[in-house]
Amino acid sequence: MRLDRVKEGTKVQIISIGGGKGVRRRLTELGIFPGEYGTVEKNSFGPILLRINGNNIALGRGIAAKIEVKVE
Amino acid sequence: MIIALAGQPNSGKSTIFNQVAGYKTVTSNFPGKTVKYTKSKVKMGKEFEVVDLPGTYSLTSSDLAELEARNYILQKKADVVINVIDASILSRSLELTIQLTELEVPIVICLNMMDEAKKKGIKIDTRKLEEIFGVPVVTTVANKGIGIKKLFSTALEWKKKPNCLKYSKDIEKIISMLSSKIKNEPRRLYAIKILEGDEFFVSQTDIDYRRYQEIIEREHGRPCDLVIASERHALSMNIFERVATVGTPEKSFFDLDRVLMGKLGYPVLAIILYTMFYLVFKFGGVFEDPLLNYFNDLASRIFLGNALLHNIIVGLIQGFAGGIGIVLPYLFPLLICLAFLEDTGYMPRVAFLMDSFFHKIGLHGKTLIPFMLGYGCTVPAIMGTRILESERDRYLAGFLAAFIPCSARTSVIFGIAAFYLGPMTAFLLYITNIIFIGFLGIILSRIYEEKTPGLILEIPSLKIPSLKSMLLKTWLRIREFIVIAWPLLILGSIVLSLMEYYGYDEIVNNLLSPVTKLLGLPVAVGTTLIFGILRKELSMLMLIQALGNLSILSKTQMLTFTVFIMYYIPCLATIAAMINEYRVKKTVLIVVTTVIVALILGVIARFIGDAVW
Repeated sequence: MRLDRVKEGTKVQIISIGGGKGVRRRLTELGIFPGEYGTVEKNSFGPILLRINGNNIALGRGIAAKIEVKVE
Repeated sequence: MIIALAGQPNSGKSTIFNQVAGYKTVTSNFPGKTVKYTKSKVKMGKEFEVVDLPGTYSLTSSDLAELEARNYILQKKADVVINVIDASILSRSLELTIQLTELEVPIVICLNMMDEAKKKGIKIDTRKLEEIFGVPVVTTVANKGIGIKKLFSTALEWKKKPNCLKYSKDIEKIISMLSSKIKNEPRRLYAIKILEGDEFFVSQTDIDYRRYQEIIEREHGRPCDLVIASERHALSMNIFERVATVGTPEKSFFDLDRVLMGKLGYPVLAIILYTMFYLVFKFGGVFEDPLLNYFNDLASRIFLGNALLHNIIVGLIQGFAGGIGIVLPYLFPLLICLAFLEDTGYMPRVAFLMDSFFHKIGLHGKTLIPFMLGYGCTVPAIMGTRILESERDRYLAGFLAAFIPCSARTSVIFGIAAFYLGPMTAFLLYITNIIFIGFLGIILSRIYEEKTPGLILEIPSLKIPSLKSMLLKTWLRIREFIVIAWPLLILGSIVLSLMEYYGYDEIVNNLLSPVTKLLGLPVAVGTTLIFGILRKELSMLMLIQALGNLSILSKTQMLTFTVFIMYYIPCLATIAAMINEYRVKKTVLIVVTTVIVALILGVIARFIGDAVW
């Protein structure tokens, strides 16, 4: 499931990160790795807020669409 | 001896720097505020130099500010690197630490924000951490000054290189194969970065690096850069688990972010901005009238036999009066409000709220940060565009930021429009300005069509700002006005007096008469517009001087003048900053656009004014 389609408050596991090397680098720098667990704190309007390792990260919808996750 | 502060964005490097160097650089609660390094000589027993580097998530840099930090460390200018870590996000921060050890320079780890870590229930075994990395670990709470002395006394004595941390066996095999072919030092770092495909490191050697990357990609079935990053991630998670225990976090009884970043966030934002506007207006208004009257009175009472001397003295008084009477009363409350927004960490939240809006103008939410800085001064706004990823985004953001009324223009808007035409007029000027910027953004993003990479922004936790840090930051910015702009205002005022004395002002006024006539302004306004290119406040002060008194202008003329000043040519300092960031050609395009826009909007203001009043 794409991260931008996950309901608010859901725990997810990151499966893969699509997109170019630049985006991948930015995301991994912030701790968004395949295999990691995170919680979708917000997903209603505007960007998605992902909480991962005690850290909140805002992701634009376009970016979130490139992240494939598994709902726990 | 040079000690450099390196670490991830928003880990508190600038706060530590200010603690030892005196308040010399701006600190805020959002990632990426430091875009250039700052250095300072410090005496603490021994004399040494401390360097505050821009925050960087990793040594593979993707934005210009990060590049600056990386290049500084790579050139090995620093004798010791202090790795500043936000202890409350230790596991992620260790990924940079691992990369810093690969630089093979002496490192001291500074676990900062220990109070935040405690709140999150994180306990860290510093001894164990020292053992793993082979470096000293010092804990600090930088904003309270705790541990700073110990940090630097430790760094001054430390000369040993850190331990080398190993990745998995198969990766290490490739690293050593590759590093045996590399001549650049440190070889291990080069090998790892080349495997990650970092353009800079790849360009420094002529090795057929793809061959090595392919070996790894075949074995792991994933792109090589991701494999290396994952290795490092696993390594730091492993270290984190060995040194830290995570208990239950302190429960806060109310989650403010639910309000600030939810649907209610928009009305809250409107209320905050309106309150800010109201405070600046009220505070400044109290001072403007009595101070100006006092100085006008003083100037009119001066009678000197020598007319030339008389003109010079009057010019001097008026320049001085403008600074203290019109600029400072509005500048101070505006900067305090901005400091508050910056230090609480509210800015990234606004960036979150406004992301969809920015997408409509072809940019993303992070652009908001340079924009907000623009309300203080356009120069840091232009430099702040470095936090954006693509060159096109940086230019567009800078282009639009040129139209945001900086504090100098704010003093004109408040000093003339709000003061004489009422606060509602000034408020509408701000609203139309925002609408205009949105409109221009839509046009520009059509011309420079390219997809913006999208928002990836860390939202730091909210903090209660310290009054001391807010006041020091405001002072740092006001001092710039006092030592640079104010003397310029006084000098400009004297020059105008002299020009009037010798009758030169008429030549300039005549040259500019097509513009002033088009705008329906008195011809005498011409020279003031030229002075405004130096500093925006200058044109208002000159206006008072050239006309004797502002109240001889009609309401429409005041409106037209304010609108023109709001939009035309950014000041010289801004132009210099733009040339530095975007080169001459692109800067000229911005400057020309501002003049055309100012003329068009000025004429519209004239018609609206005529219709209303």
